[in-house]
Amino acid sequence: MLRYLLRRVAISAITVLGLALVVFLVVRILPGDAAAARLGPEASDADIEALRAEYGLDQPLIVQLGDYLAGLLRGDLGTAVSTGRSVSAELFARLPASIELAIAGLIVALLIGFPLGMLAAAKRGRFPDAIARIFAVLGSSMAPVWLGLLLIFGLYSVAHLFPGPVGRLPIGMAPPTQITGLYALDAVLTGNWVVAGEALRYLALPALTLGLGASAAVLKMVRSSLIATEESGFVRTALAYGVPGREVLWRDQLRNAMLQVLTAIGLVFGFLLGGNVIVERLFSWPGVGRVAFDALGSNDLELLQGYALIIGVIYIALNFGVDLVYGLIDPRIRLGGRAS
Amino acid sequence: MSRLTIEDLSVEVAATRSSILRGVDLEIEPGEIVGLVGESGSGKSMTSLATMGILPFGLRQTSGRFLVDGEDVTDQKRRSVSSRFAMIFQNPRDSLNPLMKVGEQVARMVQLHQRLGRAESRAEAVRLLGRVHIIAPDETARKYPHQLSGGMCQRVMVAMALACKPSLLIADEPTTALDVTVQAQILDLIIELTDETRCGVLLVTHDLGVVAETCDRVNVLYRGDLVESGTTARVFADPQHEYTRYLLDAGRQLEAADGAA
Amino acid sequence: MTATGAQPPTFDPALAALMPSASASTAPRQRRRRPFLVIGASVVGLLLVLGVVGPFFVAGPAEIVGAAFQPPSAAHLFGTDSFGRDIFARSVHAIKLDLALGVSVALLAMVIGSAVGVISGYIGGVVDDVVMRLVDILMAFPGFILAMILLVSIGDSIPNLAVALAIAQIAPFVRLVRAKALSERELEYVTASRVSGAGWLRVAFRHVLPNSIRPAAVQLTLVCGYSILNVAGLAYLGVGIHPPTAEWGVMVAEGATNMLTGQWWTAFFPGLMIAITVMALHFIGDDLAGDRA
Repeated sequence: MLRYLLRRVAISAITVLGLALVVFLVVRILPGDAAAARLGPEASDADIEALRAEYGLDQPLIVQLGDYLAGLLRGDLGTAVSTGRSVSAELFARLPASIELAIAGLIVALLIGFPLGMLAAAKRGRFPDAIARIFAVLGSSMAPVWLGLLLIFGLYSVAHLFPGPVGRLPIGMAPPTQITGLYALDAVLTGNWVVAGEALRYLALPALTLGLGASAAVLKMVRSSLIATEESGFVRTALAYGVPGREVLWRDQLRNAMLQVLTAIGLVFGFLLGGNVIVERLFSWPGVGRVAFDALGSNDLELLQGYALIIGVIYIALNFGVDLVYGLIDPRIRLGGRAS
Repeated sequence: MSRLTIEDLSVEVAATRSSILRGVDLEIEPGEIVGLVGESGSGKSMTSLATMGILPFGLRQTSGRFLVDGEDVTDQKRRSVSSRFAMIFQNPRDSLNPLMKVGEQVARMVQLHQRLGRAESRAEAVRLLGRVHIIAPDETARKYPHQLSGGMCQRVMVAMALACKPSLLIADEPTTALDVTVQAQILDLIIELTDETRCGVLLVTHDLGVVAETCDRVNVLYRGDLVESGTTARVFADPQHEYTRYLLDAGRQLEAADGAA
Repeated sequence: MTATGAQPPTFDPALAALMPSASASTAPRQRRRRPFLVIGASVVGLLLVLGVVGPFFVAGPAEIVGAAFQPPSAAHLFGTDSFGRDIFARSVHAIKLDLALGVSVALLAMVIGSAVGVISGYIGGVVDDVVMRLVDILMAFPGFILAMILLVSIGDSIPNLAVALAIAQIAPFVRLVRAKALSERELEYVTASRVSGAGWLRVAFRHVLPNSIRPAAVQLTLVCGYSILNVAGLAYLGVGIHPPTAEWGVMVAEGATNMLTGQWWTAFFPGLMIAITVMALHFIGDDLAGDRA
């Protein structure tokens, strides 16, 4: 287990470092000038040069890289050219909103994808399986914007079941006292039930938009890993010994399939984080994706670079967490190699 | 009364309707070990799976009756539950759940088939592990399959079989994946327990050496048809079907080659 | 005890091909029904025909055909948008661009990915280690975000859009082809052909390529679909393809605000075109991948 753990830590660390390098190179080597963009077409060359000097953009690449990496170690992601504030401040302030949305999206994805995947595997080749497969294809064929628009149109404009896309709380409602930054959770922790309810209502549609697409991936994974375990020896043994099918499904197949589902769940995180900019724009959700969208509009590469790095690090951290859980569940890793 | 009677068993691939077994008949008496031989694809594993009522996805049984201790169990969908079948397989480590301690896996079968409580099932599981000659059964019960050798895993499988107090034990290539010395131990164990419990054993194998060593009677399966059946001594001395003669010749050639080497 | 574990040699040649194919040939061989493939391929075929022929029969992509915001009717199948342009006509004009983008991105990603994969798997050693680390890093990024950053860095244009989207999808192809290259490299006939002087290019084309064609084809259809979705996503964020180009994603983005004010058809139909196209591609890919995937 310790060796496994160390290996995972090392791999994650290398990947984060590589990520920082790649992000840096992509932003610096390729054309596009943040300083010029900020000052607009009217700016004189001298003004642009001055601003470039201010942000260190006139230094040789290797010096910039050194500064950049040193900054990273201090948690300093540079300064957002478009707003003049520090990139980390811009992003960290908005992070809780995005995390809240991603967690809710993950819950939706699992709640829909897991049971449907189980159903499809149990009824493999029959009607429910076909329906589930069509659902999976449908879920991964819809542009997130479009899915979100459909949900807004159907559940807000027509049915009035959920609030419109105006952010995290009704306009004018004060957010709960900040503990975690997740409104729904903070409101519950402070016993503020009205706010908790509203926060959940406002969370519902964006979470559904994110989660529906991801649920298709969950469904596929659960189905294929259950089918893989169905054909494995120990399931055959359990069935041959008269263990009831339901128990075999829950105790043997599902637990073993979980190992595969877990390793592939990184894919789901990819969906959730990848859809983040679009959904946050669509629902006026004040998270990091919204920051990225604004940065896109103002051609603020520093800010975009910070955003990419944060998304990448979160993604790596989540996958690291998945590996850890895997190690805890699987005795082959927890207890190490063969005793014989 | 026979432990197991199979009458006119036929199996086909559902999608293409191509047949895999045609009209197979088989009989096993108490305390008897009956061999079922044939090469891969001859349908011997399908015979055993069909008997258990757990044919793989995509296969369909088209005819056949199964009697266990004289009782017709054909219409019981999951025959294994009620009629006390037990089965051990070719690859013992794959046949055990990798996420469950082996003691727990044996205890689960005890609980299911002997209707004992949790604690008693655990104790019985440890006793059964001892009965299949596992040294330190207490300690072994707390191990996971990946921590045991192949031979040990197969012993655990045999202990699981005993937990069911089976009328019939189906052993599908039980020694193929094991080392030669371990093979002999497992076969001896099966012979010993068959004598003790008076259950019937259907031994599915491609290895005539295993048959000669353990089986009272033998059935030869060729491309889905049962082509020969008789006592082991008779079939080995005087094979009736061309294919059986071929199998025996091939076996002897291998033996001769081994002896020469 | 006889020699253990050894299978008896084959009885007669027919026996070798015994199960289940040999017996299948005795029964009338039923072809596997493949409804998903048929549906997928027909839809893609239909789109291609519509994309090539359609533009000659419908209004121009920028042509104002009447009042703004007319709901769907016989005259304007998908209704009209805020400028009074015919949404059906624009959707038909968009087919060529969207399919061309999807296909070119997928092909580009496949060509680059396969080349890198073959070289990495074949050479092995340090080169392979470095390539695989890079692939890990690429995969540590949601493809959409990577494409977005790349596009902004290299400059916003349609060719650049294709390049950015392709780079974001290279990693799975590299993995796929590398795995095949690794296993092929160990096979004896490859060693034999190397001894006889064949270079890695030959190995790549003769052995690795045919072996990885099927999984690569699956990946190709999927990537083609993702790319069309990603184009739409980027258009909504204001990068990639811009109005007034007739492109499904742009049309969805333009119609987004109208959807809230009740003119649902403006964004609905272009989005539906995307969904149908991507779904058809997925159906084809799913069928190629087989029942387990």
